[in-house]
Amino acid sequence: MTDITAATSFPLLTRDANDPVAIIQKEIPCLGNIKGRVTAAEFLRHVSMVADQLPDHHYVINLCDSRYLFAVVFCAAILRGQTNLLPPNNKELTQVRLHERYGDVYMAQDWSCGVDISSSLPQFELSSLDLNAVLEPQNNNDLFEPPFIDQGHLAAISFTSGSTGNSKPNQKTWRTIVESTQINACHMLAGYSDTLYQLSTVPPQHMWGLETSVFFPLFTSVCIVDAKPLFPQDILDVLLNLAAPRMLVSAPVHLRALCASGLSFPDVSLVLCATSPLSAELAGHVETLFTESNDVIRSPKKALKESQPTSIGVVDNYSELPSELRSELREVYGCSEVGSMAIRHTAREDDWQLFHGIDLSWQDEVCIAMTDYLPEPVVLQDRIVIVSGGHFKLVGRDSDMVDIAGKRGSLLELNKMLLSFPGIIDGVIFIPKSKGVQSSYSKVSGLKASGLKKGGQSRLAAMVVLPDDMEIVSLRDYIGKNVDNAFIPRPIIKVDALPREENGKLPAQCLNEFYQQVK
Amino acid sequence: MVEQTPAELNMAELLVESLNLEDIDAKDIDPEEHLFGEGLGLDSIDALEIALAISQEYGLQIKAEDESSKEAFSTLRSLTEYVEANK
Repeated sequence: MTDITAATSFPLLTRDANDPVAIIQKEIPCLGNIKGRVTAAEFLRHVSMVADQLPDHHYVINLCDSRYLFAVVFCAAILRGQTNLLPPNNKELTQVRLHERYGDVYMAQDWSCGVDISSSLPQFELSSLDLNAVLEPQNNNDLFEPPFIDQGHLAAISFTSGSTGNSKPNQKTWRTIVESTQINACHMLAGYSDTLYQLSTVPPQHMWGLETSVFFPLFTSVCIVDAKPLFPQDILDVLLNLAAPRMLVSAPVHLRALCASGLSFPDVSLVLCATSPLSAELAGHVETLFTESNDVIRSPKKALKESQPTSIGVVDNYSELPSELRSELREVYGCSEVGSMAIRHTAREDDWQLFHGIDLSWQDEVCIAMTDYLPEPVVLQDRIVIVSGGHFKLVGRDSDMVDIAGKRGSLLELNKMLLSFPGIIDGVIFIPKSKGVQSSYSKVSGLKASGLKKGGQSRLAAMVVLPDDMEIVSLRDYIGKNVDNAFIPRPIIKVDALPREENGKLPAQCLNEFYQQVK
Repeated sequence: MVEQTPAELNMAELLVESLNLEDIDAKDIDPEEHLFGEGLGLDSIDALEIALAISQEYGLQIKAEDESSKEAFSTLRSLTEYVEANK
């Protein structure tokens, strides 16, 4: 059937009516406290019902804490011809800036966002709705006709994580979402055609969580669980209540905590990890942790953790297992401008395989990514060297960009923000040279990392010159209002003056030596 | 500032060490000051670090699902009491 609309529009979802798209483990008040599977047909009815209720504005800041309700609002807004704004954090000031920038904005939230709500913005409260009615069994095997969305519709705008509300917006049209999801699925879900039950520890508002936990259920055989657990015990509890084959979407910082927790996990067939670099060692740990529990795996794992000499034998045992029994961790490389771009089996390979449909080119050593589905070429922040046909190595990143626990921000922007603090005389935010200190619990866990944040950079530090009567605590509060907490420098040290050269420059070497003296 | 109990001082030292709070002296953490948001300005990854340090120091697995553990993270005092009661 050739349909002219096929060229210019694409369905909101491509699942069958009875396919499971979500699992509700904990009651959601506006869904009438139901639990269990939500089918594609039920999801679509929720979307239509919410779409009818959304206020008339161009942009929605979608802050829903429930992953399921986030997806419902995301799709409902698209159905209404609106654009989802995906702020990098839930700071009040960020919402205010988005409001100033886009004007015709409202905020959608559920009952548990815990967000400071800016009173100047119109609100849409999901908790005031009753979506239960649409889940009642329906006699007619109802018409399941996912609506078509214009491919050019601006479905979402994401912002670089960690930065302020003034960061560069990344526009995602419906075409971008549909095509990139198809490509992502080819690479990330390769080898899986049956339903995969996915637990994600990353928020749906960030590109990584959006691509995997919101877009996959619309177009692939992924079924998400409505949860966003942080602590290892909570992650374990959700996984134990989830059917197999299981899939985990996470970030290095969360995976490291799981490995260090000492807990035993059920098998998880596929682990997808992104946001900051993962070591081959940790990747191997994760695969062992999530591989079917049997003695072959369990006892050697203990040996591995305790760094006994027998650990070599362990790895051998482990790799002798048939591959279908082994958990596989696939690490994904991407950025918020493009989305996911490349993948590797980190425990076994160092090079990244570029996704098809993405072309890289170089101008003066700067790498530029181009695709059919993005409106314009994107300059990448990482230095990339092609190894051979579609494989590349990451060899470093732009020195201005910092990566803390998977959140990226610009040092330049952070320093501008610091110096905007009323009354500040001078100051600098920088990345201190690491000291190689191991804290006690990382020693206990046997992991080499010194703290969970390893993998990105460690904490930022700041040195500031303040008037005598001004306290650091008020500066810390100010920074906390402006940026994601991960970017709050620690420590912030009050000094009499910074070691600036006559021309005002602050060389990194001087800065670090001075810092070692004053801290 | 309200005075710390010996157990609170132990917990404060665990926080300072596990979070690398180099500019803060464990003795100076007000037991009733908020740890997250305003106060010390800790974030969710810090919460994860604290949970991990507590599981290794006291053998207690923190669960956000429990309402009581959510409240536990509000201050040094509540965290210490929670761990004392559940370890």
